[in-house]
Amino acid sequence: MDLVCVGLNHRSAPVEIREKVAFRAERIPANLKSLLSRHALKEAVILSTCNRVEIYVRGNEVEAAAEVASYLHAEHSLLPGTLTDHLYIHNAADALRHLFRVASSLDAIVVGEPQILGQVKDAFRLAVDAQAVGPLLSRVFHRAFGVAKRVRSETAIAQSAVSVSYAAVELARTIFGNLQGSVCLLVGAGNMSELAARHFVQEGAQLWVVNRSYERAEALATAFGGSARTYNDLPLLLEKADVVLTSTAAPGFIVTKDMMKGVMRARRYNPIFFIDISVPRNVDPAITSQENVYVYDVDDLSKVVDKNLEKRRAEAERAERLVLEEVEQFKEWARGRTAVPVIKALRARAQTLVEAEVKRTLATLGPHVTEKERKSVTAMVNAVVNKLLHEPTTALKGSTGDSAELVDAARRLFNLADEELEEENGSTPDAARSDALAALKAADEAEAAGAGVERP
Amino acid sequence: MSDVLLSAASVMYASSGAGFMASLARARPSLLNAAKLGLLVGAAIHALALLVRFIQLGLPPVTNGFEGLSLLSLLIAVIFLVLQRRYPVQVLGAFVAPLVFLHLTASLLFTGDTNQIPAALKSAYFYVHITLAFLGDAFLAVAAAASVSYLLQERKLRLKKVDTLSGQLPNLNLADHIAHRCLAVGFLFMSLGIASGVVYAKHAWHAYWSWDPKQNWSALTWLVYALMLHFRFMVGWRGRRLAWLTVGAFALVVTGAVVMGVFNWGRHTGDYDAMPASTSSSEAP
Repeated sequence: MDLVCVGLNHRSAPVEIREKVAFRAERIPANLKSLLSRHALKEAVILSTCNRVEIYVRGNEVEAAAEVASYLHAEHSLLPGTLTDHLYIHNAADALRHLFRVASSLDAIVVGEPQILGQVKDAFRLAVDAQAVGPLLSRVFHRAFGVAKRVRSETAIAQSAVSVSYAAVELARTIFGNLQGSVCLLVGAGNMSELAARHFVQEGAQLWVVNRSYERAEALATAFGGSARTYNDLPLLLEKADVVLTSTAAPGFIVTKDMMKGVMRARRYNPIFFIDISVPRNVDPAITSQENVYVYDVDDLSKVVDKNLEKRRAEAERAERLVLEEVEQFKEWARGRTAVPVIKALRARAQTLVEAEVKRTLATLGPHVTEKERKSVTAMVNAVVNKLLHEPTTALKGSTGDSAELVDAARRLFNLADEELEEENGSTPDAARSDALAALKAADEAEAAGAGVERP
Repeated sequence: MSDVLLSAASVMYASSGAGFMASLARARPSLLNAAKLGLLVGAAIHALALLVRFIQLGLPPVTNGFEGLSLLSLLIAVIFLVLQRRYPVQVLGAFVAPLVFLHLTASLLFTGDTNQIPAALKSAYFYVHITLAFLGDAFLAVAAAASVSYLLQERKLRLKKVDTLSGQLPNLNLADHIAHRCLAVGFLFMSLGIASGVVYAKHAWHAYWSWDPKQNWSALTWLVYALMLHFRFMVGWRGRRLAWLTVGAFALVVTGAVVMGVFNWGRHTGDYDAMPASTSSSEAP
């Protein structure tokens, strides 16, 4: 597998370096073009995000890595060697594993955050549109997307919230399910509660805002797409709200046990969820003695987040095993794939020989050869060649473990030059992918035709 | 033949239940699907077994209370399988599948000689009665399973021990909703079951109500459910208290079926033959 990955990320390089090497999306097609104009590089994808810059290419390990590194320096006008300490180079299976880990968000700052998959997809799409992707990268990236999907669905890596404000949303979902149409009451204001309120609005909740000062409430309501209510109506509002975010500077409890007694009766004991982000606390924790009242303060939410982070780490280990499994599978496929061009070349060579020899033989036989004789001579030669090639073809196609050796042997035995094995470059990914299949299919058909000839 | 199939179904239920529980504990979607499939296959085998027995017997296969448990367990499985298509509550299988397994296993262990069929059972009224009563029990069983899930989830939220399990369990509102719906439907069938039972009793024994233990027990259970629904609708009880009641009331149902069955109390079990349908004698309270 001639896959090479050269890049740097948040661990290998500080932001001062990363910002120098970052690619602008609109320039990437041009970058890809100049990258591919270099001799050693055959396919390329550029992935550039704020946390990483990585270039995936098809090419010979040693040459390709050096070419990409020199390109990075040249393109970003850096002195040679600037990046040496920061760049990592992965070859073949290591590069594959790296890409799988990146796409599955195992290499991220917050493991499991899903944005990176979209970024990898965008990078791939850019490269496809720029016709910089051939059979190898096309296959590699499609598999990477598959792996990312598997990791998401088979592990719980991205399942739980890792920020306090989002943990609040998730807890609310555990109580109410879908938050569409539920009512979120924001009492007072503060960074964290405003962030949480935004999340709730995004989830489709209705937002009501109250504040000591009505003007402030109105301003906040406009900012978040909610509606302002009067502070003195708090008990009435509590009767209707599902989620209550409190963060006022009040010195004591503004939601008390006595108040909640009436409120709960009025709401017919429908569940209510308080998220108390204020210090000192605004909501008396004793109100939870009532049925269906839930109160979480800042510490409770932080504990939830800590636990979720811990869980993600545990799940990440499972995801790593899954990635390794996928790398192994891909290696199998890549081994099989090296056989295809060899088979193709072998068949093409045989076909050329058959045609030439038949022509020559017929020429020496003179003009009195009948059409029937001509046909049977051709059929005979075809049959011999096909029978002769049948075993080696099957061996090459079916080989798994030591196929690389077999493929090499076949090349040497039949003296197949590299040009004959070269696949077209710059084809679209679909064409590239179907290429391998088409080659296999062609070989199968040739075989079937051969079998047809020998039967009569 | 049907015995072999029933045992196979019971094994399927057991493994399905184990699968559901494991998937609940470890959040594995693939495991969940496998468990669901196991339950489906188990129910299919179970239905086939009952069909075979039906054909052999020429009568619905509910010759005694324990054989009835087998039908009941199938109904529970089917109701759950339908329910989880409508609501995202696959994980409730962790509570339903064991229930199904226990019912069927009890039926297999205790159903003794089923070749003697009491004359009283050869009546259409009886089958109407038993079908309605079992449908009621089955819905109440699912309501109890949803309530167990509610209680678990509620406890985690209240004690602030939210974890993987709470992500798996249905949210409180959904669990409450399902328990409530199943409760209402179950209660309806239960009422119809009792009403048809009364009619059947008149037909079989010439007395609408003969105060046998099973009848009394049914009446008691019915009363408990009626009160519960009353408190829910009229007083607005919900949440934890109602969930506990739902589980407790279902325990009454199970106790009724099992204890009465084991000790052969009353007409609903052993003494049909002592009292053929033609005689209206005896059976003073």
